[in-house]
Amino acid sequence: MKALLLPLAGLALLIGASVLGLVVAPVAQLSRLEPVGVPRSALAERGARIYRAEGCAECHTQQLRPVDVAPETSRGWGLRRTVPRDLVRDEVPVLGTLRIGPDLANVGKRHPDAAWQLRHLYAPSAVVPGSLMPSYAFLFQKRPPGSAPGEGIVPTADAEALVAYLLSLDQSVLVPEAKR
Amino acid sequence: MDAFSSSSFRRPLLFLFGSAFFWLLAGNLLSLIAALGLPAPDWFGGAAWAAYGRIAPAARTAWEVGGASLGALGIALFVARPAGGSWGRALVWAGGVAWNLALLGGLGGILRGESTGIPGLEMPRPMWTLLLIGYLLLALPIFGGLARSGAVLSVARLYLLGALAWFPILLAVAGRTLLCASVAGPAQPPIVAWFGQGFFLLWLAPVALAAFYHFLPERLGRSLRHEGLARAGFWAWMTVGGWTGAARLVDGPAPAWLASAGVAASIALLVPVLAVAAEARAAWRSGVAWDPACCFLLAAAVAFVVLGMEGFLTAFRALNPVVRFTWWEAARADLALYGVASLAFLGAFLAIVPHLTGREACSIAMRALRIHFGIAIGGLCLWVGALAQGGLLQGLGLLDPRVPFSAVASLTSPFLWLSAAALLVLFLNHLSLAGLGIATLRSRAASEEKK
Repeated sequence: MKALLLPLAGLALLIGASVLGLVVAPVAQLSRLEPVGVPRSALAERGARIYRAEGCAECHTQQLRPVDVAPETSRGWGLRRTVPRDLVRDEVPVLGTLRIGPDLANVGKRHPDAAWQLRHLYAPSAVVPGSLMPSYAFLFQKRPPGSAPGEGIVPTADAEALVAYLLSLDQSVLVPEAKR
Repeated sequence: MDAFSSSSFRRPLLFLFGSAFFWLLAGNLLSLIAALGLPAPDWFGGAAWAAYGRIAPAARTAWEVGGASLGALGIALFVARPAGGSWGRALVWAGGVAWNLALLGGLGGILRGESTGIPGLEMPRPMWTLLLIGYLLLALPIFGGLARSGAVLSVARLYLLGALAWFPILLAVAGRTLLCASVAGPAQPPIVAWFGQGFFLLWLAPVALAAFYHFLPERLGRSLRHEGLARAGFWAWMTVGGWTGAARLVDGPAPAWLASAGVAASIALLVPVLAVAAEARAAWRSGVAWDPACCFLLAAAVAFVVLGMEGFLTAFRALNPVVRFTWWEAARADLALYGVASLAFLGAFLAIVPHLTGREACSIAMRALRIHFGIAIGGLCLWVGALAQGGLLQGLGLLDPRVPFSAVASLTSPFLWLSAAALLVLFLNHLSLAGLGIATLRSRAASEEKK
């Protein structure tokens, strides 16, 4: 047991320092920021949960880098870099790490049409030729002809919620700290 | 040959390694399905569970929490010489079963579309509680074993102690701040980065290095060449390792001081990396004699050194913006999970088998294992190399606004096919390796019955 005491004491100190630095300090610094933009509807909140559960962040980021680092604004992905305040309204921010598909930080601004979003979810490559996104047809229901209203393929509540969330993605409000 | 062949911990140890191997196969298969789905998104008939967003995190979880972590626990159990006879054995069984059940439920949850969507913590919340309980049950006899060390801990046990101390803290803190009552949105990315980096760098990697430092001298029949350096490297590692995660926040929505601390830590991590490199070089020079166990362990050490160098280089401004958000980062994660954690676990298992069967592998098995090793390294290089190369091209394309996004995607597609081919090769290699392992262990059971 003696052999363990000193190493364990050292480890406790070092682990504690790391927790203090990367967990406690960010929580203290970033917990009371002023939000930007408009609050999300309950439907969009539900959509955010679907976005997370379906792993959309595996292929899409929601973070833009400073303009002098990467030309992301020139791709039409947004007007400015993403700042901590953009995340205030997120229950769980989904920044993403890989851009197999385009960044979605401002997709609600870029494609504000709900019908476009639904069509795209149902058959991505029919809307964006050459798209490598899988079809989310399983978020839609096929109805037998004649069963009006909403004949043919209708979105489930999950698809509607996901689109409401996508339409809420908008970081176009200019903030002073993004100028750096 | 050794107490472990007749010890009461033989069966629980085999259970940990056996289930680790099972999850390694499962992770490999899921990765393969995910990789095939990339260039051909609807190849699985548009099934919800096979959509990339579900299957990719499931594959990662099977590798990380399954193969690599259970392998790490197996290594820990063996190196620590667990305490507590029958109650210790019961704890290991209970912990191993709890861990496996948590993983099974967690993977099912992710594939059913119940992922939490928190990177590294995708399994549904109750499964993480079960996993932590499993860990605590397993850790008791392992700590008991470590506590019976002499006056000074060996290098291997020191690394093991570090990993065993970090893991529950990582999980408990991330659970408290991200999974249970989650903290404010802007405060979450630093914690996600801390947990994600910590899971590899402070849990899997130190156990992999513990295996390296434990089994290499045993197999080579000599003591460590740079023991003092290894101890210094350990403390340097534990000092800066917990800060390197913040380097993932560079240019992201986080205070600049966090990213700077992460970059500084990534550069300082070079000290422990060089300590490992020195020992690996000494092992290479003294002739690993193509002992399969040594080869796997040495390859894991080399992969760790490569990763450390990569972290050092991509911390700099010149390279970081190019590789961010590209397949390069996936290549890095795969090198960590397969190159370091899984290869070390395979090497450790090969070194442990003689302790379990009471004899060295026969010459035919040795030759087969050398071929397996060659294929594993070839597959790893193709897998990671293709992704890294594709990622580099992708990154250069993304930085040039004149290149349309769809052109960038089609640029990477050949490399994705290559990495899928590599995953197929690795899967077949693992299957036949599993067959060889079962045959070896059975032959011992058969020879025991004859007696």
